[in-house]
Amino acid sequence: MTNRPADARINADLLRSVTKTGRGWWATVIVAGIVFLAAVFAFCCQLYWGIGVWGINRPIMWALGITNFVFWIGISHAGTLISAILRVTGAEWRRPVTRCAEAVTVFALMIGAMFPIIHLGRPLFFYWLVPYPNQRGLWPNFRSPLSWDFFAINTYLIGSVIYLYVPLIPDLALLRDKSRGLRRRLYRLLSLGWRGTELQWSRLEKAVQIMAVIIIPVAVSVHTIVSWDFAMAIQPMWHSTIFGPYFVAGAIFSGIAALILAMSIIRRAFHLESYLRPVHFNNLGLLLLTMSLIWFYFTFAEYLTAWYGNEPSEMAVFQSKISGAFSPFFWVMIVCCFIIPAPVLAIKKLRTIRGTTIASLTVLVGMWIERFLIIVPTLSQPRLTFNWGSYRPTWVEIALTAGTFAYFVLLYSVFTKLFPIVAIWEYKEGLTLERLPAQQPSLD
Amino acid sequence: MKRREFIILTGVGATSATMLGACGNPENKLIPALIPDDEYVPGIDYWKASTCAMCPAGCGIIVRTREHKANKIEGNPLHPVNRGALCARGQAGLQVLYNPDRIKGPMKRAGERGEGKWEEISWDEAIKTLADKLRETKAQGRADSALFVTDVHNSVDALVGQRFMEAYGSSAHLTLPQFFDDDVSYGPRVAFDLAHATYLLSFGARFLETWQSPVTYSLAYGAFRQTSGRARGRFVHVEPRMSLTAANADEWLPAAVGTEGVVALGIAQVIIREGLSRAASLPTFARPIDDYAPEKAADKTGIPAERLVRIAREFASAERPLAICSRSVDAGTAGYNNSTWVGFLNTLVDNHNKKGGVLRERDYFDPFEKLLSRLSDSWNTVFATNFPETIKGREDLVLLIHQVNPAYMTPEVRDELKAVQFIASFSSFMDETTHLADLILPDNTYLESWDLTRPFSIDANRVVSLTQPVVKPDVNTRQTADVFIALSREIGGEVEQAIPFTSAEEIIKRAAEDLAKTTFATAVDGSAELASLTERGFWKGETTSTDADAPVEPRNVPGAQMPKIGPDGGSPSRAEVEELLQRLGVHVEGELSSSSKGDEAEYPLHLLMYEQSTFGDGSMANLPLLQELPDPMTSVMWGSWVEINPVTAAQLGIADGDPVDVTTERGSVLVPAVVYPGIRPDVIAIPYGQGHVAYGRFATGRGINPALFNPWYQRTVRARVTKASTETLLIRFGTSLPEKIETKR
Amino acid sequence: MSEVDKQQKPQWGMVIDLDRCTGCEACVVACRVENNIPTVGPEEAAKGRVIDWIRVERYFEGEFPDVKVRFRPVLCQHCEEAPCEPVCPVYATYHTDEGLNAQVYNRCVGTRYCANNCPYTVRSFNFFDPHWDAPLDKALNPEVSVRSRGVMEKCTFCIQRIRKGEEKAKDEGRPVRDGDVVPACVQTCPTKAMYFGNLADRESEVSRLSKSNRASRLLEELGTKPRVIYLNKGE
Ligand SMILES: Nc1nc2c(c(=O)[nH]1)N[C@H]1C(S)=C(S)[C@@H](COP(=O)(O)OP(=O)(O)OC[C@H]3O[C@@H](n4cnc5c(=O)[nH]c(N)nc54)[C@H](O)[C@@H]3O)O[C@H]1N2
Ligand SMILES: Nc1nc2c(c(=O)[nH]1)N[C@H]1C(S)=C(S)[C@@H](COP(=O)(O)OP(=O)(O)OC[C@H]3O[C@@H](n4cnc5c(=O)[nH]c(N)nc54)[C@H](O)[C@@H]3O)O[C@H]1N2
Ligand code: SF4
Ligand code: SF4
Ligand code: SF4
Ligand code: SF4
Ligand code: SF4
Ligand SMILES: [Mo]
Repeated sequence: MTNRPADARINADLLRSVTKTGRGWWATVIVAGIVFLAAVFAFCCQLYWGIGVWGINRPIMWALGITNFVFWIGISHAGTLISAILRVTGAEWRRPVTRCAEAVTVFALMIGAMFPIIHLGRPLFFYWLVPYPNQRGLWPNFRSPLSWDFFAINTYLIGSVIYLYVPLIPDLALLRDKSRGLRRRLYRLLSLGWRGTELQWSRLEKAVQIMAVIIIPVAVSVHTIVSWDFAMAIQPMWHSTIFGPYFVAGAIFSGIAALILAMSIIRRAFHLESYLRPVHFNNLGLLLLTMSLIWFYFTFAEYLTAWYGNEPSEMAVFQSKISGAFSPFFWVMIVCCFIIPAPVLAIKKLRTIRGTTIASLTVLVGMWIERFLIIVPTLSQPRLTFNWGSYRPTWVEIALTAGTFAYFVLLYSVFTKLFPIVAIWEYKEGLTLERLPAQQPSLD
Repeated sequence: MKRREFIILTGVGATSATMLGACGNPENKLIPALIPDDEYVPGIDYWKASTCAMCPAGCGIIVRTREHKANKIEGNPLHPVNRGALCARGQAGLQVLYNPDRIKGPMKRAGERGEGKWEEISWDEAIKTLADKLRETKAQGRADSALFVTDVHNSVDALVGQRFMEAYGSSAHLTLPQFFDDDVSYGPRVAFDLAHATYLLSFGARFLETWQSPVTYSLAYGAFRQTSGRARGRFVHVEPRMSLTAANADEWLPAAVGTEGVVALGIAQVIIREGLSRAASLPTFARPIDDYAPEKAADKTGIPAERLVRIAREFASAERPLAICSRSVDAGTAGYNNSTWVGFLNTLVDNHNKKGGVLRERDYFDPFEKLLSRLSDSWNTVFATNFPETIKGREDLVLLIHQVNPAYMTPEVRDELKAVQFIASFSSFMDETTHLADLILPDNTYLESWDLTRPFSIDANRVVSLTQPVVKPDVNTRQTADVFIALSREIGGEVEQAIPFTSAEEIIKRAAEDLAKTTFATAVDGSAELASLTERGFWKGETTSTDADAPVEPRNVPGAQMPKIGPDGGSPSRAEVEELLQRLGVHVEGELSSSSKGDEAEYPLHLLMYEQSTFGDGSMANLPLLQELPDPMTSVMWGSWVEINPVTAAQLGIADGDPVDVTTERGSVLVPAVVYPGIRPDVIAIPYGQGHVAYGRFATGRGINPALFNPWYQRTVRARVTKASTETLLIRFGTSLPEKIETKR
Repeated sequence: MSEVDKQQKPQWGMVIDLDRCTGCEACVVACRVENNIPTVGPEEAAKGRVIDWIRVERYFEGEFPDVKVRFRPVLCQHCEEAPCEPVCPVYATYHTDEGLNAQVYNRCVGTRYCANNCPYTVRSFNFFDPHWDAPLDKALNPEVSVRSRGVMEKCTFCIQRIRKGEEKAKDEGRPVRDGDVVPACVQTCPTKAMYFGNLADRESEVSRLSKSNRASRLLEELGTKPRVIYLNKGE
């Protein structure tokens, strides 16, 4: 309790990221911006020449584009889901983490949701996937998992934006009061006339609670539906009943990793050492460990059944991953998702901020590879073996992939410039609650 | 009438008495019509009958045209050669017509010879230039220096050209060795009734790809395999590498290169010793045939004795056995002995003029006999097997080159060609030879030309097939016969008198009228027949009867000619066997052929060069449709490759797709390796067709031309293979299980 | 045709006799010419982007000298339960009441999902705009649309020929019968290994052959119910 900062300090600390712009920030934004522009250029090339500038071919019609899609949608589970679960379960330590997590969700989702459009052969006709009334009476096919994706992702995106926005309102009001000029106008607009009245507070609390409850099934459904893009298909090692939970687990897994990484960077960059404390990393690390074990269990179950079933077309894909052309990727994935993070996170001594950060990094790498390995090996070995193929990404796909990360960094950086990355009111509320007599023993 | 269209598609529901009603495309009712341009109905298909000229088989085609553009070639369902079917090449014919690299009009050389600089000229000027050249040559008393060079097929162009040259005073007409792979054991006018045979023994005859008439035999093969009411035929194929035809056999016998004669004799020996022969009498052998017993020859041929004995029994006891043989079994040797023994097998099972056997000779007739025969007996056609030798040092030559590309088929002739005085090329494309020409008088393609051909048919004794323009050329080209007619007018005198025609069209029509009166009907004036010819595209004479009087005789009935060596009776020594095989024309190890004297240690492998079914001799390499058609066996597209047995490849440390150097006494080429399970370990193979140095955008600079190794059409040489370091591109369409996912494609 | 059969729309189907088929690939070229299929060129071909609606698969079995080769022409199987159809988000590929798996190029947005879900790998994608060096484009079939880049394409059973055949039968006031519709590949096949016709007509050749004891369907175990029936090799 002793090292808790005072109210004014809290305001100053948590608004610093918004009010003060360091050189590091600019450097990050410029570098990320350049990479992002390279990706934009790559996309323009794609628009101009056609999607042939990618490395995809027959039979490998999906590759990095969909890998990135699944990966980023997975990352998006960090936030909303975690913050919602923590809110619903009333985990007190969540308070400095929620905003950070919710922002990860919104941005990851924005990026992930771009890919179904970017990867189209005719991206300019993406709106044909939208069910809008039209003269010709043409509707999308509601039987297609891609249509489900459309609804699920959009619902999740809207939900997540609301879920990020609603708890932002008191902080926006605070900012409104402390800023001037253009910013002031912006914050005034966004804070929706927040005065901090009793009624407003109770409505806010209620809204946040409802959203937290709603967003959990939505998030679970989103990655389940993404998994169904594959599981609904009849291709070897795609057509699997556990893909739903497997994907959700993987998503939460990578989401937490992304959150830890983001927190660790923010902590450093904005000197929030006293807000994002070892306890947060410890707790998230434990969560990550749990997910690593679950993920490993799913992976094991998935591969074991394929192997035991010994169906030739499944075995071809299985073999190529275990010992064939894709085995380097496969084993790197196992190392990154399990061999490294599991011990690091299990051993208390190693579960430090640095430890969890490193584990998160490897998990992210591993989970990206996992997405790749779900897609490409299956496609490269269709049932009629005469048509087996191989795949090599082109600079365009690599630029687009790099661009997603750059774009994420960019969005996140800009976000930190506009909004406090730790929810000020929520944090303060936590302190107030702690001071109440009925408070349970502190977490540290 | 300025322009004629011969066949008009009537709209749906029309009920003219037409021939193609049963053809499967019911709307394609063809009626003969002569309609001027302005009566064309846009949006209506006009189908026109003609003849495919993508290979010498002469399948009947119908071409769908709309708004003066041809948009599909299809087999003529009534044509006796192909009954509606076409091979892959035939289907690609429109890319010859609309090839972007067609020569657009007459041109004369502007820069140095071979520099590739050209000046467009008018036809008048082109004809005048050539006429001047010929007049000048004649004035110098060197008329015999002017030579007309063509392929062996007697097209109307070649015949008019020959007439012209004879009247002009040239010494001879040169044909370059272009073969129609007839069955060498019988000569050119025999048909094999594959459709009714029940047991087929093929010695290298790639009848599904190149041999004789691939579509005709493919049709027969289909019937041989599955026809209701008859048992499935059994097919055994002897060839050192697994060609597409071999791949379709029930049993593939990879006999050693050049030992087909021994295999055939082994089979004959079993038939005789087991008393299975059906022949009325057997020849007397100077040398006991027992010496060729499968047991004794197994080492040489690589075929286990039991297997050959079983095949001999199956063959001899089959209901309707048939043996066929390709020219390739005599590859690299001068004689016809290997094939002779294959012919002998047919004698043993007595299948001549029987259903499912060897059918009697087809009637001979010459559509142009009256119109374009030679002027005197002294004029002759020289089959220039050694073209470079023929023109060597003859700087005085004026060459008129038509339908052949010697600079590609024998790359080393290029230097000799460069040295000759004048070259006029009639080629439609800028090929290697035309590149060296001084004057180009571009020919029409077959879809814009007139001709009458006499294709090979199993079904009918006599067939004449019409080639007629299906569209007008969009480029400024002219049929070569018409060019010669114009040239004769320009030169005048005897030459003009020798060619009393106004156009190729007229010649064809008059020839057809003659045929109508003599060979195909007893018409009075032939006009009704002519109409039917232009509508249907062919006439066919009487159907082959299997019990005709004229017996089939193989070229050399085996018997007394059988070389006699060693003391009678006893089994021959190794040296004796080798001597015998050599005299038989059978390859002996280390002595494969005159051009491959190479040391066996230095060149341990036999290199086969073969005509891949789509590219053939290379004139199809400029068609993107065929370049992008995967080779049916290796799946390679857009390039060359060398096939190597997996064991040999492993010994040499060569993996699938690796670049290798193939070296013979005549040089070396860099080519990607295809590890190919269907080839003998002592054999490698490279297809012909690629490696053009000129021939348009699709062919030039792609793959390699193995003709470098094969100067005088000797198809097998000794070679060695080594792994190379330079990368070569191997583009493959499909993989298969042994070709794992790592395989580059 | 019986009365019952006549009521029904024709149900198109194909039979391929693998004992007759020699792997010659004439069907491949015929289909390319009839259906305006572009050649993509060596660079694209090297990347595995050749477009074809029918291909001849070749499988080696065994080792020298006992090598066997199997050929199998594979085109869209026009599955009755086509896995490619439900996954298309825009209904660009759907089933017609004549049993055809149809492809609406103009509606396709190029997700390539259908290709991923086709167990037969018969769907080709236009990675770039098709191109014919002039005047090769003059040979294009005016009755078949040229597909732009970014759309999926595959065998249509030569729908343009089906329409013509059906119209003709209708004009003559009779149901379709054998020979009314001959797709380009079937038309050219040098061994007459391919048959096309109405499976709903019990007397048609394809119906008769589909009952052969050599008849089987490709990857039958997947339950896609292909409309292409293969007759196995003899013996
Ligand atoms: N490299 C190589 N050499 C070979 C062979 C081989 O397979 N490869 N095979 C040998 C054999 S068996 C043969 S038969 C010969 C074949 O040798 P050639 O008869 O020389 O065969 P192509 O190379 O096909 O040459 C035919 C040429 O005719 C021209 N042409 C095409 N269409 C027309 C037309 O409509 N009118 C006119 N006037 N010209 C036209 C083309 O430019 C083409 O180059 O080669 C022999 N030598
Ligand atoms: N489709 C098509 N048909 C054609 C042509 C074409 O270009 N395309 N061209 C025509 C012309 S001009 C010609 S010359 C012919 C050429 O047709 P073919 O006579 O078939 O000649 P190649 O193509 O040389 O085939 C040689 C084959 O013989 C085999 N071979 C080589 N050496 C031996 C041997 O010692 N013994 C045995 N048994 N086999 C051996 C090789 O494996 C190879 O498959 O085809 C004619 N028909
Ligand atoms: S066999 Fe020869 S003539 Fe017949 S279609 Fe093929 S290329 Fe044309
Ligand atoms: S054309 Fe006929 S024989 Fe040739 S590959 Fe196609 S189906 Fe087989
Ligand atoms: S074969 Fe493939 S593309 Fe054709 S209907 Fe079946 S699943 Fe669809
Ligand atoms: S590629 Fe076209 S046809 Fe296929 S699923 Fe996507 S939109 Fe539908
Ligand atoms: S049916 Fe028509 S579209 Fe289908 S493969 Fe045959 S030719 Fe091509
Ligand atoms: Mo030839």
